[in-house]
Amino acid sequence: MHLVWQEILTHALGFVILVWLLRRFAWQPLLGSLDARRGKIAGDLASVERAKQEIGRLQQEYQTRLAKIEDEARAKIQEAIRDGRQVAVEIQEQARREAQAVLDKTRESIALEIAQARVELRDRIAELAVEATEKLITERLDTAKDRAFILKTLDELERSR
Amino acid sequence: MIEHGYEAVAHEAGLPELPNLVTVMNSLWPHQPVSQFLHRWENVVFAWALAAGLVAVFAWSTRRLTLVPGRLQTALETIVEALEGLVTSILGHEGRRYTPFIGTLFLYIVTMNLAGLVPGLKSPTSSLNTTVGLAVCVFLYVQWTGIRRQGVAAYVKHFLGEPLFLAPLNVVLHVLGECIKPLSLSLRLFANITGEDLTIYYLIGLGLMCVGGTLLAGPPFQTLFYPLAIMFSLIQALVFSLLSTVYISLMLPHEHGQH
Repeated sequence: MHLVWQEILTHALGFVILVWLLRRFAWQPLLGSLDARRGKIAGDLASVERAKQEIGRLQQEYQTRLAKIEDEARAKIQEAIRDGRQVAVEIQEQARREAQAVLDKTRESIALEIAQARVELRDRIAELAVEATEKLITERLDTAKDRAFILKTLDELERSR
Repeated sequence: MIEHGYEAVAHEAGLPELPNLVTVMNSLWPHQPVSQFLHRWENVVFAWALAAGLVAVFAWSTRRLTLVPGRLQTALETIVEALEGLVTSILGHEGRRYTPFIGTLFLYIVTMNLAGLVPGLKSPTSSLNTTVGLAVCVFLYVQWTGIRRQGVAAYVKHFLGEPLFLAPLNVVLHVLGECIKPLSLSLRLFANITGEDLTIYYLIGLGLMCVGGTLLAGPPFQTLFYPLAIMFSLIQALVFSLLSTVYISLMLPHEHGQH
């Protein structure tokens, strides 16, 4: 076993050159590539995290909007129910008013017809009275006949009512 | 071993070793200056060839890096990321700066260690000259890091130690300590890989002994050792790199430097 200084120095020189060459062709590009990939992965993860936060925010916003929409829908339904009830009340009121009007009209019509009937009755009574008077004038009457006449007249009156 | 069909080559430590492309070339053309030169610089030739292979693989695979990587890019990124994690786990966020040096050291040593398992190649790390060369680089880089990060005054003060009247002794101890660090690194790696190569050598010899030299090849007993050898190669590279990282951390001017 003997040391040869020329060989030792040659090995040392060779190693120094190898370090320089591998630094140039291996370490710098590969470590750079690893750093770039690490950076990209970190960036992608950060983007995913941001996207998740954005999704969470949108979801919360969506939930809030949904709740608001539900509240609005509930309020509108309540309002519609109130409007419907109001409309129903109005319809009922109008129906009542129309029924009342029909009733009043009918009553007026009945009253008119009654009045007309009365007029007709009075005219008829007057006619009968005239006829009876004519018969009294044209025919001599005794007590029995008077009575019979009067009863007959009353019967006719009764029937004519 | 010679009588069993393959020729042992003299290792620099006087130990036998398997023939490789360079030794075969030298045995075929022993008088050719080229083969003599390659044989003379055998470890450097293999080390540089493996380094060139490493550079070629990385340069080719990093030509067009994509955000969605292919298989090779994924494999290399996994290695690079693991080494970066290893260094930064010791040095903290500052480790990124030292990752190219430590990472290259690890990849280079692993490649050289594993080369011994490939027929025709050789582990340059089974030579003390190779491991000492690497250890010298680590030593110089650690000292340079200490001077650059602490400043000259703090670096010298670190060697003087406390109390001040023991400075002469402290300086000697610190200098010895700093010199022993690369020495222990280089000896550990050299001894382990040499032992690994010797084990493979003797297992191949055992296979040839089984066939009594009648066939060109014997049972490949060495294959059983390969998983262990791969593990040893990785562990030795890891130990060398981790200890180098620790030496750097001891030179940094924060809590890592307290020792």
